[in-house]
Amino acid sequence: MKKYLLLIAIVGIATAWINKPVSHPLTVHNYSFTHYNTDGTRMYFGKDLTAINYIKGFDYICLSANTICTFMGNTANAHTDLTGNYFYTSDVPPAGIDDSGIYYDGF
Amino acid sequence: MLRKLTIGLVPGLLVLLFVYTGFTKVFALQHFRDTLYNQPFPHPLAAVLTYLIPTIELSIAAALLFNRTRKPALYAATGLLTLFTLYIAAILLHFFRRVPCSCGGAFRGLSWAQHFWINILLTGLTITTIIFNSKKSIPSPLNHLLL
Repeated sequence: MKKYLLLIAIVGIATAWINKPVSHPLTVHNYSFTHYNTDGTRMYFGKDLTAINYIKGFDYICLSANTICTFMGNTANAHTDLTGNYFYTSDVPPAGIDDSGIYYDGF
Repeated sequence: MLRKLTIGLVPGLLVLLFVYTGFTKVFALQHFRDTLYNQPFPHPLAAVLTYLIPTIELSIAAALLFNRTRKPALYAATGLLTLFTLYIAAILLHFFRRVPCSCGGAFRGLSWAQHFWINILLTGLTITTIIFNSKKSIPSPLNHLLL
């Protein structure tokens, strides 16, 4: 075994530790999966995204001002619905439903 | 001279790369898992790759440390780098329905295109090292200085 390679490996471990991704509480969010659309896509309604520091217009869009804001998606983040299934931001249809059951067909 | 430099430097570069990338994933396994789930392949595959990729990377790095296992490790490194390069090429050529973020790798600030060219360079260096390794060494008075 070459000692300089072992030394490089130790440097690599130390660098990985220093540069390890910091767990961010916003990496994964839960969204309420309510029911399927007629085309088979799922409908979600969002939580109060401002409370978790999402940026309006980038991470979310409010369908009805100051009431229910639905998911727009930051592709840098992974997301799960309340059933624990991951979904892609592109899977979310441009529609939503608020907690009183009113359906919004697109933005 | 070039041969000695390549054989001396490239394994070190690869050890640094695979130890760094492997341990970055191990130290933040949940983050790596989330990133894989956001890639355009089936989730069951992502679940397996979460553990498989760092295991392979660290195994290659460990194998590069020892003289007896260095040669197969260089072949394995070429294979892994080639697979990743092909995946990036597929993304850049829009083979998938969307372009995922390139934020899960060890070099999080790089774009997919930058990742691609770095991988091409590393793959080329690794193949060159394999070729140099397979040739018989020519005795040189400088040998004892470089090794």
